[in-house]
Amino acid sequence: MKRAFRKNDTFIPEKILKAPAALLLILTASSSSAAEGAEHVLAHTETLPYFLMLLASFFILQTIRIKKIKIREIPAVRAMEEAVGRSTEMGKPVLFITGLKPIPAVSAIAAVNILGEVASVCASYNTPIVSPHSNSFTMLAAQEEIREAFQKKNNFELINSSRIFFVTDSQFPFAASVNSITNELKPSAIFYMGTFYAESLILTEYGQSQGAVQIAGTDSVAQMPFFITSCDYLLLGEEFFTASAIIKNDEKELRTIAALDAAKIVTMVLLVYSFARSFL
Amino acid sequence: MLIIVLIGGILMIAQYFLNIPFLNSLYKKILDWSIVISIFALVIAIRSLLARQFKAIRERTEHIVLPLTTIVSFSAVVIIGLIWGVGEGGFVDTVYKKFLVPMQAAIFSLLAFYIASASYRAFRAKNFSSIVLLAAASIVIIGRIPLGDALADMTTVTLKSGPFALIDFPRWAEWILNVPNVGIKRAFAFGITIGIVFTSLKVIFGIERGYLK
Repeated sequence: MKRAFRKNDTFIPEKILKAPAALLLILTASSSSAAEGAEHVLAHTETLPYFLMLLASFFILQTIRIKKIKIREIPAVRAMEEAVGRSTEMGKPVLFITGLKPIPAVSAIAAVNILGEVASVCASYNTPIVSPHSNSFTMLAAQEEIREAFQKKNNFELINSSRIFFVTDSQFPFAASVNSITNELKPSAIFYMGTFYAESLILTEYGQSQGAVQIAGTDSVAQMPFFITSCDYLLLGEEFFTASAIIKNDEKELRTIAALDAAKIVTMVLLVYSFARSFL
Repeated sequence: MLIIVLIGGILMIAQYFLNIPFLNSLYKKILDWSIVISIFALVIAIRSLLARQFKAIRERTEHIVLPLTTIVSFSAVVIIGLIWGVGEGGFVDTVYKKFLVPMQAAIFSLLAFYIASASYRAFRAKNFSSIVLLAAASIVIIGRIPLGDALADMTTVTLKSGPFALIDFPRWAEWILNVPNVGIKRAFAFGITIGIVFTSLKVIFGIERGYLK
């Protein structure tokens, strides 16, 4: 009997995934030498083998059998529920900022995913969530994500799209508006997820002065020191991209984290190899 | 929808690694389309902004002056722009240069004070890690101000190999910034880049669908 397509299924069935996995392994091994002879057809030949290696690790970890994937505890992920709980106890809303990059950016997609998980906790605790945005694409995705999270928990009272709204796409006016909203609502938990620039410290220092628990996650390496200083918890580096998968505890998503770790190990081995080769 | 994402994603990867003119022109066309779509999305954004402001006025909130200011300035700029145009030297251009740019600079200038307050909190020597941070920050700060150069000049001795400063904060600061700092930044950059690639693959192959809602 034909199996129905479930929500958690990969779009490409596993059997089909196995063929590219094997093919990519061969390609990864041969691409360095092949690239030299095919420069008129190929572009960015220096990064091609590395990209194929990443692709291979992604496919392989999606297909091989792993009994149980153990994920280390990330304090920022654990603190998310505590922060929402604190807001509930204090009768204050949760503020969620999704950064300045719009939804086609991977950081915005990761931010909206985390927003969905935080909204789900808010729906369980009957706590409103407020989310000002600097882009309409991200705003629409956030509205749908929050609506779905509240509907799943049968909490229809707090579904209010006017709490998820567009402010401005300019950097510093956005920072000023968010600080104004923080001053007005006095949220007891603030989440900063996504790509931030110079406005990061303006936002987080003001949030800190209001006494809110602040949890951040970003792909902006230059802003990490500011977030570390001003926020209570930070999703460092790739933790930001894996946080929603860890909260969901979905097997397919956890396999991607395992693939990410495998790719990191291979990257480290390659780095040590190229470092050692420079002495030979 | 998932098929469009799959085909689009594979084509975009292919155009980066393959020198095929058709793929390159397709990539440029898709970029143009994304600009066109984002203009339509701006209408939704403006609707959201104005709806919130009108709601605040209807509910007569405590800070009613803020939504009023937003609506009046938004309407004024739109009307003036439609009547007199938005070209260089026009009224809208003047409003932008004389009002918006200084106000943005004012917000940006707050950063200096926030950096001072954040540094004060970060540099409190509570444990070993914060003592290391304090020491590194002190070296970098002294190395970047004239005092560092003056100390280096005062303590310079001449060796066989040439002049050598005994207390050389600028050189130590340079080392901290270029060696441990860059090393750690690159470690994060590696993790983030791999994270971006894997999230993109999750989107292309339909594991991640949150953006489709």
